[in-house]
Amino acid sequence: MVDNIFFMLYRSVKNILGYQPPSVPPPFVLDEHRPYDSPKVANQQPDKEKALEAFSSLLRYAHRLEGFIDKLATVLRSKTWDKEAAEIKLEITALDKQLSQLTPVLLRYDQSITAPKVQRLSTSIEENRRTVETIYQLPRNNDIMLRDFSIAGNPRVKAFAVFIEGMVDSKLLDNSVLQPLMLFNYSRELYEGNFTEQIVRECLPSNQIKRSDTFASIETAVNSGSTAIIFDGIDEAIIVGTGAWEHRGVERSQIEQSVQGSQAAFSENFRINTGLVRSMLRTSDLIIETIKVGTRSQINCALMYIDSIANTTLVDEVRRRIQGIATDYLGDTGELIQFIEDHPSIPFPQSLSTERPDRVAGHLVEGRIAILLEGNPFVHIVPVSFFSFFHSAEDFSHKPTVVNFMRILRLLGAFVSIILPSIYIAISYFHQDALPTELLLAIAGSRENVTFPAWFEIVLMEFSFELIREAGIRVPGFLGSSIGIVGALILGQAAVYANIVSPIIVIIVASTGLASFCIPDYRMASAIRLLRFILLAFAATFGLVGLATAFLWIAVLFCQMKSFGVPYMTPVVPKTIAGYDVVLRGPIFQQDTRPDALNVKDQRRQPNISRTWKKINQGKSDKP
Amino acid sequence: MKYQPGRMGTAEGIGLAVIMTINSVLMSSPSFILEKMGSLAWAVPFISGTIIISSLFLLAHVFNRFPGDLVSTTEQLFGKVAARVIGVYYIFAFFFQAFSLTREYSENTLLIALPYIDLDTAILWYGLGAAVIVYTGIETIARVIYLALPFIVSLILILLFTSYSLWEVNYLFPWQGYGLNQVAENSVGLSGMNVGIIILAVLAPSFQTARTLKAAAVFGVGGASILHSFIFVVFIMVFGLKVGTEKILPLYEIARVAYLNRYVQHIESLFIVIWVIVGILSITACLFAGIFLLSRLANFSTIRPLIPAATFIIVEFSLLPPDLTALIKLASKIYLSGFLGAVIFPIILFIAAIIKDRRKKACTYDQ
Repeated sequence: MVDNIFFMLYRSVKNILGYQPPSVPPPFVLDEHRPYDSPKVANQQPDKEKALEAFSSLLRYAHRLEGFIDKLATVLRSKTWDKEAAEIKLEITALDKQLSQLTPVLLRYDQSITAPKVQRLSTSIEENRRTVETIYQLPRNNDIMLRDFSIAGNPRVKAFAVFIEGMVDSKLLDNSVLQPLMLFNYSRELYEGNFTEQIVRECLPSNQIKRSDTFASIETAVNSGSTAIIFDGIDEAIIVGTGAWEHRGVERSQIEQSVQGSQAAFSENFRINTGLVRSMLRTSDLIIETIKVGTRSQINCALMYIDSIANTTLVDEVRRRIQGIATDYLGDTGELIQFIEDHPSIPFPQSLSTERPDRVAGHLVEGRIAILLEGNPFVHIVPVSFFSFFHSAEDFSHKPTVVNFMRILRLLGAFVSIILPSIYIAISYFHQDALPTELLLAIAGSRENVTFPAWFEIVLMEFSFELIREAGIRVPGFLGSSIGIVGALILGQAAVYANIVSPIIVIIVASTGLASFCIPDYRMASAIRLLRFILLAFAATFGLVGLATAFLWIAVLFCQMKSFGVPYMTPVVPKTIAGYDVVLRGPIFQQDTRPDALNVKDQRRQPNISRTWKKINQGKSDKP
Repeated sequence: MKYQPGRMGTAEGIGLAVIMTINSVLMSSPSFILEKMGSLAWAVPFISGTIIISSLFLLAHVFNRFPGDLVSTTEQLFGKVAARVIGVYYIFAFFFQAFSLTREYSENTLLIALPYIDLDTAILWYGLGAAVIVYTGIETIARVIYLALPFIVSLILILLFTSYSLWEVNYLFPWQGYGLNQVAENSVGLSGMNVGIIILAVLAPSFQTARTLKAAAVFGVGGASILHSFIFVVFIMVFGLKVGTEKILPLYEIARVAYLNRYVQHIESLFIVIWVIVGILSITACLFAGIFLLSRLANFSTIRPLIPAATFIIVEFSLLPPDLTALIKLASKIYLSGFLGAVIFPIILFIAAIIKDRRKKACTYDQ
């Protein structure tokens, strides 16, 4: 049937009369984290789970023993005993050691008292592999690499290397670690003496090398960019210094420049970017999940969060949204965010875009999630509040008083940027009595020869300013800034001389433009620029009444918005525990808790008295 | 139910409580109260505020025993018919307040800010301003009010303190006004003007607990009462009794006479901003409460289709009174019945809840 105007009209009337609310899923609201979100440490595991884990270990040992017995039987039957003797000897030693680790007392101790990372290495490569997988939460963490290989020699020993992609120098790893171990030592007898000692002395040419028998030291080393090699049958690992994450030399931050703090910026290389974040946050709790986005050109998208802090519901929701993108190609994080944010049609940003790894690390520690797309140097952080856009990268590098002054200045700049032209229009059109007589006369005098109405002057100048700004960005290099200066000077002066605009308008538009550059976030500044034109229309129509109404509507918009389930105006509305970093910033040693609105798993960032040295000094001074 | 509002806390409750009671000082009621009570008029907000807080406490007690909103609790206590009757009464109260506020704010906008604008346009503007906000739901409305509250209170305090040079403390004497008895009697009657505060009871399930409701009542109504009293005190100190009774918009008049120096001569524009924000938010809250109750009684699945229709009716009704004086006269009559909704119904519900609760306990013991 043809869908003509009558049918459309009929459907509209029918919809109005028999209105039914659309059946859309309820909007996502970030709630308190549930008990099962809490980090799984060994102490909190139920007894059954511990018993199951111990039973599994015994089973795996039994399975290994069974395999060994079969192999031994085969060797004995084939009468090649002398050839396989080394391997069998090594295996017997390993089984013996593993058995000693599986005594009920040790097993119970390992399984119930210590967290995985505090455990000592087992002689079973399988057990060690499982522990490493638990520590790094594999396969969720996609940049943690486990490389299996066999060591050349007699016998061939199975081993695996653990390292973080993006934090190691691949060439160094290949040439100085894997190659010597896998290719160069066929004639070497490996079962004599101390195995790891022999490997370190004879096989590895690296200058940074050490041995370790605990997972804690392995974790620390791997998080710093080293590679750990774990062998079958040996309860000791070798840690080789292969760290070479990209730092500082890569490039300076172009958009978020700062006087203090790290100057490194992300690049287009995916693994370098994840490595930069890892180099800032050296913890195995940092999860970097990789999700493929795009059906035609599958691009890696990294979801970064700290597992023991970030709210699990939030992580699940962000992951669900990213996985729910059905498009053939995504080339930019900005495009990705539009697919997943709560209000894509509202111009105000709902995620914080940054090119600085230090900023990403800071937000991850607060319990937020970072989203990185392959081939893009900008990381988006979610969820954020309105106030986050007025914080700059170096806020925490300076003293609170200085930073607070700067923050107030930024907010004032944003306010002036929004309101100055419209308040001029409102007062000059409707509320002239609000101005002192002298100022009123001065303005009237300056406008005497101007032929156009005030609103037209403002729109004309604002439009010209936007043209200059856009041209300055598009024209490459120093020519861009030259165009800006020349354009602003010549255009402004010529317009005043030609009586097209009054000098007061030039002052207002210039101040407005200058104020808009105070806003640290480019996308927020763009949205505010757009808002200025809307407010101008309201002010020109209803004066201060229109302006107040428009402000109210903007407040309504902000109060309704959510950034990934977190209200945009939090912690002001809805009121949550604010902490000391919203509009103003408190001393860093008093910022004991994480933002309440994020409903993180671990609310406390530091103890109430974080400057323990002060407490100690006090204690000492009290003594006679 | 899709029209069930979201979750609200004490802050949102305080916002709603303040916005529903603050109108009385922005409008012409201070001069009317001054005329009746004399120099003790500043005590009226305290007394009527205490009465309103008490009646909200009674309702909180009722909701503790019989959880639900105003309609469902009344239904549990008195049956469906009584719930419908009380529901219709409050719908009428909220819609009347919305319509009278729309007209009053529009008329006074013409008077203080936009003298050349049509009254129809001003009414339409306020109606549109409110309808857009109602569409976003009570959670957002309450949050916006709470967000705007510090600015509103700060601007009012700035206005009051800028008139400091004109304060004459002697105007506050004789401190007993026209007699303590008269003040007490009139204050009880005038508490009906704050019938809008029952919005907290209408939206009771949205608040986390009855304790939240009580906190909102104490801090919201209590804070608003202190502010009202201070406005009265300053108003009396600036204009005195005789001149004060002649002023139509007291706060605006204070803003007009304030003079700081030759560079800051007129601060009425501050008042316009407060005026518009408070006006639209008050109309919004009343409109939402009326539409919400209507949907609740008629068991509609959503309130959104009712918003344009209800706004249109409110706007049309606002155009009916021939002038502001006629509206004020009508409002003063209607507000007398506000006492019924603000005080009498809560008391009745409280007594019924106690009786029913005792019966319930008696039945339990019998078993």
